[in-house]
Amino acid sequence: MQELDPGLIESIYLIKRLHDSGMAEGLLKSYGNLEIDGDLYYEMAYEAIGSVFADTRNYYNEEKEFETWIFMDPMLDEFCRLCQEYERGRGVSEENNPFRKNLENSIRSGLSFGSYDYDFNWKLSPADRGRNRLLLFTGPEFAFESEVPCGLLEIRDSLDYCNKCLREELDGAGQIVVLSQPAEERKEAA
Amino acid sequence: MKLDLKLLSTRFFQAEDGPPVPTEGVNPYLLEHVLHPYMREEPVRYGEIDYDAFEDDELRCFSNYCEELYSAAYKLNQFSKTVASACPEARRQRAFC
Repeated sequence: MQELDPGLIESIYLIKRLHDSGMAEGLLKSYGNLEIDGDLYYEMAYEAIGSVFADTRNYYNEEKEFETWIFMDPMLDEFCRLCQEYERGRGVSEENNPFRKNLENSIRSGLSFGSYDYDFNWKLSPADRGRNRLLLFTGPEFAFESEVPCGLLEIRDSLDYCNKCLREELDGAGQIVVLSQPAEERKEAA
Repeated sequence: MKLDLKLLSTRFFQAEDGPPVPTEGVNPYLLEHVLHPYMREEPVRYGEIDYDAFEDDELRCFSNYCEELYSAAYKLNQFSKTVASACPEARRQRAFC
């Protein structure tokens, strides 16, 4: 019996994760006609990095063998807009905005890999120049590209959730409503 | 090497009739449309898989099942090689069945 390569199951898992988020189309366009093959996994995962956010750019510095990934998306723009609205309305600073903290934690968790040769950052503050973006820097020793797409999906899901909560909060639905005292307690107090 | 054929036949009769590795909990779609054609060396293309027919966490169970099945097949193969390599030896006395 031919052993099923673990990379083969990983490649199906990767497409499945993207499919569930409605982002598998690009990858299936490139690989849909190919037979399942564990050797394709790393190549697919590398390509899938560009499938999660609407605009992904990649720069490679040949001299330093250093790769920079930039992720931009209308969802990130919306998050920043809603955060600013929330901070203005509630008089909260960026540092104390719980939604920014939540997203930052998701970014840390999603981009947590077992390598020392990488770093990441985010530019989501109005003080930052240029477009709102997430950044991932990887060096020549970084060999976890296959885990990046799922990490990005995790961040995207969290971003979606944060935007939903922010919208609810700004619409007033997320505010804590103080319940009135039960009638019996009011009687006793009187 | 000596094989006790009588004991071997008893063991075969005692063995339960069923698949070598239980398929409980394994998504049937993955078995039928991915593993079985793959084992028959038939082409399975990424674009032909129905990604709505299974959950992502079911792939872990599927992976474990494939590993166990491969391990069972490997043991069976080893056993078959052992039996094949045993040289028959004539008995000293005539025996009748």
